[in-house]
Amino acid sequence: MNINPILQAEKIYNNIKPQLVKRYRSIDYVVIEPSSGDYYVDNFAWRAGELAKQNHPEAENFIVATVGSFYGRI
Amino acid sequence: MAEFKNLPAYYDPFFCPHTIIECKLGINWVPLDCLIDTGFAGFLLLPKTYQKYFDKISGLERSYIVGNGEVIKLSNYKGEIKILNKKLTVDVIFSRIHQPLVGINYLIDKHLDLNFLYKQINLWN
Repeated sequence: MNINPILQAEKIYNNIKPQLVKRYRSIDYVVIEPSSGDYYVDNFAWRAGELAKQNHPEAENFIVATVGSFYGRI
Repeated sequence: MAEFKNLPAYYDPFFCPHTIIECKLGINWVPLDCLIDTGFAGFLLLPKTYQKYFDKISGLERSYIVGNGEVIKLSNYKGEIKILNKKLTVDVIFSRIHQPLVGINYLIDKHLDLNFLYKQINLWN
């Protein structure tokens, strides 16, 4: 079954958010690898993304959120 | 006490605050006139016409809620900018806009004073 990675990442995000807000700023980025549930936090998404890729070289999707919000706003 | 340095900032004729950021486009450093947008939860948002100068980060994307409530997915890129001659690699995203924007992640370590009554704007790093 092909689960939408964004929905999966959002579920993971909602689970980890209470711990994240205690340790990080709301604007810090969280990069989530949806299949494993692993996540990486940095003040730059590109840097958290590189760490995520190092640890999950086979993964195709990494979903970006911030500690304060799953969705960005433009 | 920390020493703060002034960054370029001005109001346009519509009282929208702007700053100028040097950004690496290809091999050239180019000053970009950026709207300061506190409603943008990110670092640098550029028009799609600039996309060819940047490297996409494969597989890295985020969902954004735009002004009309629609949710869109945007890929993450990284780019180089200079602030007071100091290089920094930052997050960049692209959208169908006409004007480059800097958002909260650019402002977070700076002082920004907006005085609309006296038409003064100050941005310090």
